[in-house]
Amino acid sequence: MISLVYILYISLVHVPPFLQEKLVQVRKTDNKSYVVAEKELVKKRKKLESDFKTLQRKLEQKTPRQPFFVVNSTANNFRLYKGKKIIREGVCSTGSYIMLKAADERKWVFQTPRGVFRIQGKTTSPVWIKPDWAFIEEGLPVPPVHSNLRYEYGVLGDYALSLGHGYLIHGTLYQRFLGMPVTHGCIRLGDDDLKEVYRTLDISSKVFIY
Amino acid sequence: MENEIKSTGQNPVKKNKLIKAGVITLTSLFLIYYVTLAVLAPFKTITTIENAFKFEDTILIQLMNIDEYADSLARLSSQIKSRIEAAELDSINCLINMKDCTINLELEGVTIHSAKITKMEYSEIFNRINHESKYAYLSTPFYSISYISTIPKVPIVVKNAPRDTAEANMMNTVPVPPPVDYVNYTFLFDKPLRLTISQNEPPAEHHRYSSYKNRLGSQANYVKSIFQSAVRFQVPEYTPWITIEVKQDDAKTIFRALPQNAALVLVMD
Repeated sequence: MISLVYILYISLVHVPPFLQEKLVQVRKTDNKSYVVAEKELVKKRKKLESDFKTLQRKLEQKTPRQPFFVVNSTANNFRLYKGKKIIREGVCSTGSYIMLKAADERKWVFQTPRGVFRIQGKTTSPVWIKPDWAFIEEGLPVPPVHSNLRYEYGVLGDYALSLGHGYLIHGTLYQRFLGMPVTHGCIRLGDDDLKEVYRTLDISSKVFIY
Repeated sequence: MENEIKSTGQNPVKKNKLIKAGVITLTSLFLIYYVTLAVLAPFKTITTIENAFKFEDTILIQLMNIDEYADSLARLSSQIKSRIEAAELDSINCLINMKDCTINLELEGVTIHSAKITKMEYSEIFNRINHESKYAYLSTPFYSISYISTIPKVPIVVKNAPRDTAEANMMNTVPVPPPVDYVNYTFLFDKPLRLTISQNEPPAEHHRYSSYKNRLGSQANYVKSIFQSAVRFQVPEYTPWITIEVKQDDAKTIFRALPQNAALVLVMD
């Protein structure tokens, strides 16, 4: 009985795909042929060559000539490129994917956005202007918008590069957490890496995050 | 009396044998019919693809038939056209180079991640489609229409805000490393193709059950689809497939990076 069930299982599940792949190899590829003048063939060949060169050039132009920055938000590492050459790589920290739910129904998802961005601004000795969630997640009352309590010094490292919409590339006091998804959306780098990235990238340099 | 007993004793045995033979014959006939229909499916798909992706340019077709250099130029041009179309999108797309055994993530034409394919299997019909239809089939990206995966696309963890600082201090402040996953996902596309990517590491002990369940589920769906066609006397659908294995980290990175209707560029030869 067991052997019958096994034979049935093999026949229904394994035999058809095996035969599908084996028997289709027997089929001859149906390449059509046409009668065409020699002159037409030569002309077509030249056009094919020039179209190919145009396409190749179009694709190569896509790679930025200026330095650009690539962040892997799943593996929490980065690469700094100049053309096709990697000039620096290392670990970073990106969003933690935590959804913070406040008592007043407000929600924040701490995720580093994906896509292409441009450096919008560069700052030295940046100051962190704390948003509401920074107080809520500590169990602290949220101060007014222009309160001094919102300004925190020294936590973003020596440099910051802005990507827009409040996202930054900056330093961190928590160097031991680099390589882990711990941030609120920003990209944190080690001190030496941050210095090199700050020196290399300019305003409107591209940043690719995936 | 004895003769009567003998004749009545033989009938049930003979009847059972007849029933058994009947069941075996019917089952065998049905299995032959089932397997025949399944075997016809890829041939039907090849014809469908060749009819759907036709080259109108007969001069180019003849040139490709007689000139290997022109054939390779046509092939490379179709690949580049597909890459350029994918690069025009403002989202991350995937490029599988079956010749070099690499899988890349690209964004605006720039390769942002590259992974080595450790194991690759693909449907034999890719070698049987005529070359002009194959180049037309590959000259535009494949756009995903659905996927199924063992890991979430966005691994959100919900955290309720603490009521006060005492509760905040009690919450775990040391980041916990993410759990060990078993990564396996399948994409279906707008053009006939099924792509399965899985990790090449064997699943962890606690994931073995779910990986068997995954495999049994897909086998059951396969048998069900052929059965449904068999009952309607139709040749079942056959979707050309590619199965690849990469390292777990790469598999996870690729899955999470790709958007909902991701573009896939296939480079075959």
